[in-house]
Amino acid sequence: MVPALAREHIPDDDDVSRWLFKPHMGQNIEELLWNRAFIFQSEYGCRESLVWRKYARDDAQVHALGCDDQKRRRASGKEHTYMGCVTAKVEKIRQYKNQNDHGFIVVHEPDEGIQHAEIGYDKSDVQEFTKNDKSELRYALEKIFNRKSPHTCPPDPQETG
Amino acid sequence: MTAGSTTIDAMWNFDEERVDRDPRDIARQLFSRLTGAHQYGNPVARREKIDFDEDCLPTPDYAEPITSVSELNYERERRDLIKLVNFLSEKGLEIDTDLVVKASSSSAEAASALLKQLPSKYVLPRISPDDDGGIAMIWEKDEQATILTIDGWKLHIVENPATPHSRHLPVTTFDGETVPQALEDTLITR
Repeated sequence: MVPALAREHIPDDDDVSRWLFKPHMGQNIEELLWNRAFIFQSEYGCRESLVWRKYARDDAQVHALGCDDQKRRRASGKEHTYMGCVTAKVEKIRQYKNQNDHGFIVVHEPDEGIQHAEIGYDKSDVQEFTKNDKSELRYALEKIFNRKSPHTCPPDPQETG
Repeated sequence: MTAGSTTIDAMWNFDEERVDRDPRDIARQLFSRLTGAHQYGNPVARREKIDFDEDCLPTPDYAEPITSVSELNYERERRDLIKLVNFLSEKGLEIDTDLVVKASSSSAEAASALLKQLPSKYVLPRISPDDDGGIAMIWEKDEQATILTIDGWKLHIVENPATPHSRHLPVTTFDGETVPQALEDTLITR
């Protein structure tokens, strides 16, 4: 049995990245979609995956993982396209609080790979957490993750035949 | 012969015009006869030689006659946004291999009604599914933004999100007919 990887503390000075995927929708409506990087679905425990750059220092390493994920999605019939990643400093994420004192946590969750981290809400103990808080926090992340690195995956020989 | 088939025959009664015609023209003519929608968009599209799908035309109950290309494009985008809302409700957005985020039918109905009623002086939003069956819309230009979350017929509005001037408006109920003034006050004009 492979021992579980130990969970580490992610320092404020480190960077984390988020993959961006474009779903295939057809009907010329894709460009009208607000393709949000973060949704925080309750099915996923209101958490989203990140790549801890300690274990994927170059953008190319992050993209290689993104291309692998595109392959996994396409193998299951989802026409998703990996478009690249956005990156932020952990300190910026942890420092952000909205007017109702809600913010984020960033933690290492190595069960899905040594580089795998997660971001989740850090809710105020005092203030109610409303829909407006959620939408504001998700929008804030789009501003905080402001270093963009676009990418196009090489064609998969199995797909192109 | 039934009354219905007589109507259909009448619709197709342009045999002499049909020779050598593009099948798309025939479909457009049929669509126009069925809906009367041609009176809103065709003259401009014809004048500017824009190839467009009749389906992009606004429905007569909320549209002003289109008098310019920019208005035609605006109404086409409005119609496509409504298509997107329907897509999010019927099929949903696949965000991973095992998860589809779908809008509830009431949220989709409210979102469509709001888009139809949105005065054309405002820019059109971008749309996303929200968690819990909602639909989110964002109006964004330069440093200004408004986010609307539609949850059933309830409207949750944040003006200037993630800025020092952020303002969370009280929850408003949309009646399906009039865009609430509180929302209009936050929107970005074209």
